[in-house]
Amino acid sequence: MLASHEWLKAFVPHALGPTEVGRLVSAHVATLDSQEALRADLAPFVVGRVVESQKIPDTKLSANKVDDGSGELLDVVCGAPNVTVGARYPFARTGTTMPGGQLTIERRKIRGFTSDGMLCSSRELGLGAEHDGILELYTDAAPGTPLLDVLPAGDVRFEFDVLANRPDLLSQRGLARELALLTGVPMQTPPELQRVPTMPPAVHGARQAGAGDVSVRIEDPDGCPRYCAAVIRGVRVGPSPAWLADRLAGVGARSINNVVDATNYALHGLGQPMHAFDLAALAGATIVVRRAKPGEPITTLDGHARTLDHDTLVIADGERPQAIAGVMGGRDSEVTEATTDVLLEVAYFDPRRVRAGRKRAGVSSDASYRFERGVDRAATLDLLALGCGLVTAAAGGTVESVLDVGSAPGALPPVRLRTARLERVLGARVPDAEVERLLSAVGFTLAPEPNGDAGEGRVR
Amino acid sequence: MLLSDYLATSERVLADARALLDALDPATRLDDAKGRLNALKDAPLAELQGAMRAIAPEDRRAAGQAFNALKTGLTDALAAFEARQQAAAARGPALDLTMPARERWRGAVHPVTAVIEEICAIFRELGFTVAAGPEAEHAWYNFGALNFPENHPAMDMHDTLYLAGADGASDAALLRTHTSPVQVRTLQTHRPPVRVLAPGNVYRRDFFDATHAPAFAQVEGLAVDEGVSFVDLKATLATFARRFYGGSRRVRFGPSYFPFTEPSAQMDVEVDLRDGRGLRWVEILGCGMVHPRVLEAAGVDSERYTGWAFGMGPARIAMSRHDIPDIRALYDSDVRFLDQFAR
Repeated sequence: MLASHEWLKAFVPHALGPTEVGRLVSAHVATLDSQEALRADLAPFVVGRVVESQKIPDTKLSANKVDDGSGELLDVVCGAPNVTVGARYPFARTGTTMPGGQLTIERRKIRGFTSDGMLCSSRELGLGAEHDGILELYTDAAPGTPLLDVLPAGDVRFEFDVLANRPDLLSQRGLARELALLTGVPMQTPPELQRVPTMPPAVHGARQAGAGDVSVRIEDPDGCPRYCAAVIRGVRVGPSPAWLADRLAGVGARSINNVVDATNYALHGLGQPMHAFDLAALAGATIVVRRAKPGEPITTLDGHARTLDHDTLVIADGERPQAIAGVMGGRDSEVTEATTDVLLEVAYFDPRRVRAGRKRAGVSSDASYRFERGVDRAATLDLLALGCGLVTAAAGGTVESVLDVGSAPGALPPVRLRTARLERVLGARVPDAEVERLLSAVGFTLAPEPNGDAGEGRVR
Repeated sequence: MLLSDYLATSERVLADARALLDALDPATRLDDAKGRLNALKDAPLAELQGAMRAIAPEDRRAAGQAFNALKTGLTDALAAFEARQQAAAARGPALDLTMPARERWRGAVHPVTAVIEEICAIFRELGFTVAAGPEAEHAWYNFGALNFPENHPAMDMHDTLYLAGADGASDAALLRTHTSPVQVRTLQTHRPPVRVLAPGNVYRRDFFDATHAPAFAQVEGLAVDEGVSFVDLKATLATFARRFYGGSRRVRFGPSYFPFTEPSAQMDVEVDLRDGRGLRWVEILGCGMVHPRVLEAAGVDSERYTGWAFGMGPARIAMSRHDIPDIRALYDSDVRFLDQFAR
């Protein structure tokens, strides 16, 4: 399970560094397998302070003395107009490789002046487009301090070993829930999830529902107890806005286009796989959730032509399968630059059927991984609203209709927790108030059992 | 005796002696040559000496000369052999002293076996006895009794080799994927208190690569009694780690998951892998409190009894102990590799 330090912080605005986050989660929630600074290329840069500066006549250049903490002042020639004596800037010592790997700083003579290092602009560091001058650091940090210590740049990606009993941890929001408990900092809603578009009321149906010329029908309610869909018209498919691309980059997901990226935000951020179909490619503007017919073909998004069998649950249109349910979409209905109307799918599939489908197809995906372990079965419609918010924020468009077919599978049964048993098994007394604090912090509601001796936890 | 017989006999003895000495390898020791010569000549010589009296008086002179000639001939023949021997010695030995000696192979305990034996020795002192179970196992013991949900992703880590019956069917026979079935088998046959250790081979449908082997050793431990808690688990396993790795070693427990224990944990030990990076946390075992469903499946009252269990991989421990980067080295049976442990 990949997690992004910045994305987690968007849910829990804690003040811890990535190493401390990794340690906390590893000790209490899931083992940290690896941790990677995405801007590790900035690690060699240090804080440099300009001690002296003089203009080189007839040029835009200045000859400077820079303190890089080495104990020796270095001669550095700089072309920026904003070099100020006493100010601190990102400094690349001789031998430092610049971001991109194309240029390594060497000691050389410029107009007869020695230059032993470089003061850097935002653009040179890959931190922005600013190139009118060097990047002044508003810090008191001693010269020689690593730049990343004073200018946290770039995300940190964690890989946690989330085991099969904790599907709730397979999202940034789920991990953040634990992090909120561990840090004592309450959760918040990131700005990108606060935007809820105008949603028409959902059209409900036990087995089928329709709105306008679009309809959804479940023929296999065992495999798919609930299928929610929204029709969003007028999207402009293109590159993702920076906020979305950055989030996905944090967890190592490739940016594809703004609509697909919005669904991938839901997958990685909220733990709910979503799929966007190009509505124009769905024959009859219809969704049919059914078993595949033996020998039915599909070409999935990874470009493989596959032959389906009766055990595989598919999302079909009026004619043929357009996706292997919960596993992978089909190429024929993928969202492309030409797409203007999409049908956004948010569903609950039987984990066993998704498992069977992906085993038959011989392919697994981030989506099947989550469906197999179980997604939040009570929240399908709420998640669809969040998905519509993400898609319209990233690609525009308006939500024309919302369809809600089937029903939420029965609520999970309550979990009975006897405090006396807790002590017997753990061998240590955990005060009732502490039990309540820990469980309610991660979303349980608690109700005492009638005999008064024990507590009972219920899933939210 | 007729003179003619006497002469013939003495000539034959001399001829035989010469033939013997000529045929001898010049490397034969002189004592050996003399011994073999004596064995050939002593009896006929005594016989010829005794026969002298039976010779006609007029022939005795000729017989005496023949006898003396025989003795001289024997002495000369031995001298000739000695000369031949000395000449051969001067030419040098016939064997090649630069030829490598034949190596004496010494056996040694396999590094994985050594780890298993050490683990068993420590737990024996802590009151555990060794139990065993079959490597070909019923699916029920391997999965069902251990609270594996059917068709659950937890089974992915346990893709195994089925011997008979459909994959996943509870009456199928398979190669056990872990030693945990021994927990159930032990509880079915022994009433608590139970403290057992079960080392054995397990099988997974894994590729044989640097970090995976399709067959490998595991050591399982189980303690079930009234009033047993996670505190016992921590104390016992921490004691084990300190005995195994050394007294000052730090250990820590972190969250984990196994269907057959709740709660589940992993134990890490701070180990120096001798790669220049100093002490590092290394996971050495998984453990937890035995799930009540496992106790019930084995016919043990889960309200009265509690228990804890652990499982560890001695191959991984051997790898970190000897700085072995590839697990295949442990199972390839390459004597050049294994011989290092005999020294």
